[in-house]
Amino acid sequence: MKKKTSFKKRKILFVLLGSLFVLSLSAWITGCKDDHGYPDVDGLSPVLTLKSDHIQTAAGRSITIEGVISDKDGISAIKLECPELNLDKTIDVIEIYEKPLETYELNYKFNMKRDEIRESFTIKVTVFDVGNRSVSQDMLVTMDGDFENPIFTLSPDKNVTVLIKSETKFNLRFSISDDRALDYLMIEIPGIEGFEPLRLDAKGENKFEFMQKIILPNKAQEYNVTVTATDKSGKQSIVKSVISVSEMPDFEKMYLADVATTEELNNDVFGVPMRIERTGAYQYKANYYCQKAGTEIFFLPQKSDFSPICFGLDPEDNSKLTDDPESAKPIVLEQANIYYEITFDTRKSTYNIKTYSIAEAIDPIPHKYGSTNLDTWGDGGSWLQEFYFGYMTSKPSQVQRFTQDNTNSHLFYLEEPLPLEAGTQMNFVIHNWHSDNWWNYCTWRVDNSTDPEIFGYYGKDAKYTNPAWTKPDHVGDNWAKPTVNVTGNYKLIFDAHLERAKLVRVTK
Amino acid sequence: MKKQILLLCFALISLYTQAQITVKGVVTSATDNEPVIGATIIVKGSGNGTITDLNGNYALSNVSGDAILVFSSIGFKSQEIPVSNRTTIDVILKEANELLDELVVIGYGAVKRSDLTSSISTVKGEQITEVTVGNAMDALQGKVNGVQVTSGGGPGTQPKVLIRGVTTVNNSDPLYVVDGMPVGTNINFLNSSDIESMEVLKDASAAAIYGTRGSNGVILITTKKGVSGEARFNFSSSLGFQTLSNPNMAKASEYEQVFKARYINDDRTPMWKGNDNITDAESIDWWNQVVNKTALIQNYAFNVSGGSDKLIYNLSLGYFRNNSQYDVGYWDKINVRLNTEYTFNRYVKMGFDIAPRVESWDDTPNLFSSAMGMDPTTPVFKPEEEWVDNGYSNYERSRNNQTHNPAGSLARQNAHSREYGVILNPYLQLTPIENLTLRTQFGANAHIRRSDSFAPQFFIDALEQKALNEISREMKEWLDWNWTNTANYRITFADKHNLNAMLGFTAERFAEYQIKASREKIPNNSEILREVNAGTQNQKGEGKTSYNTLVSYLSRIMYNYDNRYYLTASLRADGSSKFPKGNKYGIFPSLSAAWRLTSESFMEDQEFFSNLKIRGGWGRVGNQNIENSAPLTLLSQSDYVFGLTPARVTGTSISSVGNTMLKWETVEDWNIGVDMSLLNARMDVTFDIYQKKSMDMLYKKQNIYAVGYPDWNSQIWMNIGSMKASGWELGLNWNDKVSDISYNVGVNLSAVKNKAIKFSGDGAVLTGEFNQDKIIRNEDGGEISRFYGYIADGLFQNQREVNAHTDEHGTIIQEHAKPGDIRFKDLNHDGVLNEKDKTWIGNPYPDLMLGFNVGLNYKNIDFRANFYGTFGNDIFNKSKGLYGGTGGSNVYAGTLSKVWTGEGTSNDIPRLSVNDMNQNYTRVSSFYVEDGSYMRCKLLQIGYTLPYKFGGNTELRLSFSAQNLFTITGYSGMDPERPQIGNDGSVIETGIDGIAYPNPRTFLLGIDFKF
Repeated sequence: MKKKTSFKKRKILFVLLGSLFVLSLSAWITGCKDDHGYPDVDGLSPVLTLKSDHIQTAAGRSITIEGVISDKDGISAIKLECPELNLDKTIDVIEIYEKPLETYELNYKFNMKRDEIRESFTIKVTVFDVGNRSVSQDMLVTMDGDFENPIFTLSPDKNVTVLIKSETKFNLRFSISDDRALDYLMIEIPGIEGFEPLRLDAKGENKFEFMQKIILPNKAQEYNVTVTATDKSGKQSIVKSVISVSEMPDFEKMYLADVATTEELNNDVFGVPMRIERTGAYQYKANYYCQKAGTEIFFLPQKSDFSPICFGLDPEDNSKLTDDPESAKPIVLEQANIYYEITFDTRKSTYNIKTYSIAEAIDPIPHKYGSTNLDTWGDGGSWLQEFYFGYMTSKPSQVQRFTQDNTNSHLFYLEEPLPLEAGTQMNFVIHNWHSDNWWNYCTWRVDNSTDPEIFGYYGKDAKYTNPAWTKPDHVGDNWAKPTVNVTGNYKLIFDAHLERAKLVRVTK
Repeated sequence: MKKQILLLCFALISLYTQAQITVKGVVTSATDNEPVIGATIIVKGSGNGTITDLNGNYALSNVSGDAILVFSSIGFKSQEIPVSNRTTIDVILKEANELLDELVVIGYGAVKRSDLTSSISTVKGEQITEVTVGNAMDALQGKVNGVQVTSGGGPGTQPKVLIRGVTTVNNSDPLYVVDGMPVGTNINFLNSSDIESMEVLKDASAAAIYGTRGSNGVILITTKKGVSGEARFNFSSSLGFQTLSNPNMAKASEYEQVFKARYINDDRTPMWKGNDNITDAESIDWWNQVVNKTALIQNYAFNVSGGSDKLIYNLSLGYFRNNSQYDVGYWDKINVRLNTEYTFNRYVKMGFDIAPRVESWDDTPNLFSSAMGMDPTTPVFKPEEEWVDNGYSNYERSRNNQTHNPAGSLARQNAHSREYGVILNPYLQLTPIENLTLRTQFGANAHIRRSDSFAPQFFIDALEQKALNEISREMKEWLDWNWTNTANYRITFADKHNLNAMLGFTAERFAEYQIKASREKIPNNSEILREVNAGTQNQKGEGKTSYNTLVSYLSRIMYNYDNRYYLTASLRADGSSKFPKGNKYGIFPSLSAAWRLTSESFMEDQEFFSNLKIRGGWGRVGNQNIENSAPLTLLSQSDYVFGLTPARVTGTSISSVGNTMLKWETVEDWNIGVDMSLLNARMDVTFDIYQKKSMDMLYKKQNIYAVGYPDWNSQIWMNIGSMKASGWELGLNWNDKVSDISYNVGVNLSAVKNKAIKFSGDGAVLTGEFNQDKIIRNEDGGEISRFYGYIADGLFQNQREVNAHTDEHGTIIQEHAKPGDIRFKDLNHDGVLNEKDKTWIGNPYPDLMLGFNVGLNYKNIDFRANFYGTFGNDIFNKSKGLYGGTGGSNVYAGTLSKVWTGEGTSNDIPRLSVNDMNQNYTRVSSFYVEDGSYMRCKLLQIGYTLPYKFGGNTELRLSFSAQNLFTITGYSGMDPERPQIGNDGSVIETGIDGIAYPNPRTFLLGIDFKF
């Protein structure tokens, strides 16, 4: 009987142990597995630690959502949400790493729209683990970050010549803008007696304009002008200019201004005022296409201002030129749709004007614009393509086509203005279109990449040049890479006869 | 007069009454002499009939004395017996099993079907002629297991034929042998009506006897021979028309909207040329301008055959013409064939086959693409006031895109050829002693082709012009001959041992002679001046001779014991001029065996199987489809620019690098199969599994630059690659008769996987141009011709989805993407979309091929239906790009409603964009890949044999057929079948739909008249 009882106990024990094993096994197999088939380790929710819960940014800038996530069960996904920012991103950790991770360093960059107008956003960061447990945290994004240095929208030329007069003076003029708020400005001109460094309070405005007549000693000397603009977040921009006080120098460069105001002189990326040709000591020749009867022009040795030197008609003797911006009268071009050639001598103050017709003007263009004469393979015309050229930033098949002026066949322009952002460095040439990206046809390159003034013809092969055009390549293989100071829409106008182009801000 | 008519009527009635007799007799089985119960006896061509009783007796009244009785019964072979005024006709029916005793042509001989040990399929001539096609292979589609036939539309288009997949990149066409004479890889020249039967040698144990050229399989074609007896005449014709579906392109108003929307969506001003708000009434339907609604197809065949005990003959005359769907483009051929055989005595027999032919064709232009893409707002012609004398210049230039005016292109199309050819095939057969046959045959295949072309001078626009007209003439001559000598000895000893031995020697030569001349600037485009002599400048001439030779020694032994155990072995040694000394000869052995279980005693008592045979075979076959000059290093003219003042000088340089180590490409193949005949031979089943593997595959390998040859791309033929095809085939055929209805149903299923084990070792072989990229990647170790590109993962529906398409760190993957653009998968999650994100996106080779054939006869009515389909194959549908209007191209009608225009409007066709900065249409992606599975009704035919006799044994049958009547498919392109032909038949560049000539729908009326 005892033996029987013992056997019964052993049987019960065996059944219990067996049941326990089966239960454990089934629990191990099925009980605590998540949807992905990964077993739980501690069954706890993930831990999310954001590096910051507030990011200051600005339109057009990027933010980075950073943090550290840990979960012993395994992180399966991270979700970033902000409907106002059109942000709805799921980082599927298992898909990327082919397994869940115990720790994950969140580092997600997001670009704010350039035209974003909202002031703040809340990004919800949610982390899921393999057991579909989640934890969320909000991150505040405000649009009050300051990232831009102040910008000089108008500033003195790097080198300014001031002529010795009875009262030798220099108009210091500049304009500054900032994306947030300007704090103060410092003006330093060492060497001028009585001119102490000047600190001007910008009062938190985002624009500041300054003009002051500075009296200089009547002796030949150079002065270094330094203007420093500082914004509220301490970001600075500095402009330096060398003022040379002298008798009339033999200027290396001379410009033609066909605008009336200083603002218009500085409303371009390049091309205004227009560079003219120096033909000898103190002698210059300006070729200019007059589109409108009565156009008034001046000649300037500096580009940003009509002072301190401006060559115009002497009010007391129209046959002479004066260099005084305050008294100089404009030279008025009476005829429209004609080319003018003006020669002058700055030392003798003499000048001469003559005209020539559009037909008399020649340009280097090898084919009739818009005709189908472009010899694709250069083999005599087995395949002819349409010939045209324009603004090109990448390759000949991506040329933005110029429109040829209806009146002046040498004049071309882009039909649509170019939208350009402040701070953008451009990179382009004027080139003919070619479907197969051939480069050795007619093209115009510039004299100076960062400050283009001359768009010289660069047709390497004579057969791609109008035979009447005898001017050699004279600027080198330079792409135009000027920097845009002011955001806006710009119109590109190009004269193939003059080899000049200008990019002027317009209201679209 | 009335009396005379009455008398005549009485006389006719009397005559009629006299002619009607009652025929009776007994029908017995040839196997056991037992009566056949329920056998059907009918008067051919009428409804008059009866069946046999329990004793096999029958009696049939009202039978004309010159009628033909048809005796048939399930499990027995039908017989037709002329009454010839007899009143008693006893018939012995042979069991259907005896069909197994029909002779099957094998290489250099023929054997009983029951003795076959290898995989050979037979197609009878009548199965071929039931379809009206220019190339007999088109008629094989779905009828032979393991043979993938892909038809192309357009007159004279050669179908692509693959037998059991692909093991080479060097021309995968099978070898065609007509009456023992190898004729190359195209049988366009052959009149389908001349074919008695086609045997497809599918495995190496069958094809090894063709050694060097058997690796792609061999198709043996036997033409019709005469039969002793009275002359029998046969005339048949089929006449009909072909149609193509209009692809339904957008009309002018939708085109204008799409054109402008592409610019506006990209914030650009549309560069639209022409009036705004154009109406559909002003639209030009370019498809209808250049593609005719119907194209004529016609086929006529006349045949007479007969002979005596000494001489038998078969004379045929055929004419076939197929017009293209354009105003120009056709192909016609006139074939004559006279096959004769004269038996001198029991020892000597001689035959002579002669088959002259004339083929003519105008090249068919390919204007489907331009007809679809042409600007529908452009009129066909310029305004009349601008017309000039040169009519080719009066066509209008496309206003809004660069497509050449298709009507102008069609008018200028002028290229035609004529070919004269003859096949001569005399032979002499001696039987010096019993069972020994000696045969010598000398075949010649000669043809000459003249091709003329003229390209007129015209000026539509500077971008659509030809400054100088141009004319050319090319003459080509082919002269191939082969001499075949065989000795065949068969003997049966000790009753049960059957032996058949064959020895042979063959010599072959294939030669091609070519000359071409061209000139430019003929004074004008006048037809009368279209002679090369009339050209005044740019005179060019060229010519060449090319030939290769082959000498072979062959042997085969076939043995069977008691018709139960079969063993076949063959050995062929080939020497080819295409290979250098030391490697000229290759040896190709094969071995196959079969076991016919139904001949065993243990199967005697069962009735389920009337035939059951298991067979297996192994063999090696070769491939020599390389240039004749492959082992030679060649020089040719080349230009170079020298000097400070660069000038072009003409010199000589190495143009191709020879390999003096070349040898055969060899394919090793094994096959296991089973043949079954069940249920009183009503059902036949054949199943095979096989594997073919090529070794030493000939392939042009990139030469190493260090060798210093001037051409850096100089490639050299090498025995370097290897490919493998493995698959299975299942054939099911059911024959039965229910009352007056006899029918047969056949299903052929097959599948094959083609794998490249190795190409050249130079890396993947990329084929299929697409926007400076390649569609297809052939990689060592993978299946061939697969599409390789980006995965299009639907369209971005909103900016939120665009923003979310980043890597885990927020790096934008498609920086130019906007809502409505395609989302491409960044497979490696690196935030950059580049080559590393490409993957396999499609396979053009099907997983399954299906042929389904039905035949039905009811009294005088017969019905045929053939279906063919492929399943699991993909197509890279370039024509899907027509939704994008790229380059100002016209678009499919309804594009505006199909493209993405806002959230939820489409997840397939992207937004319209002129810049396409996201490269929706320029990337090789799964956007273009569609399932190309289809099932096509290849033939639907109903025929009626007139019950009237016109005297003697005349028979007139009328039929109506529809070919390619309908296709069941989800594919959106014009034809799911056509892309499988690939680029010029290339097996590693197939499955791309570039809008080639689709297979037309064809309707035909047919007449068959026998007398």
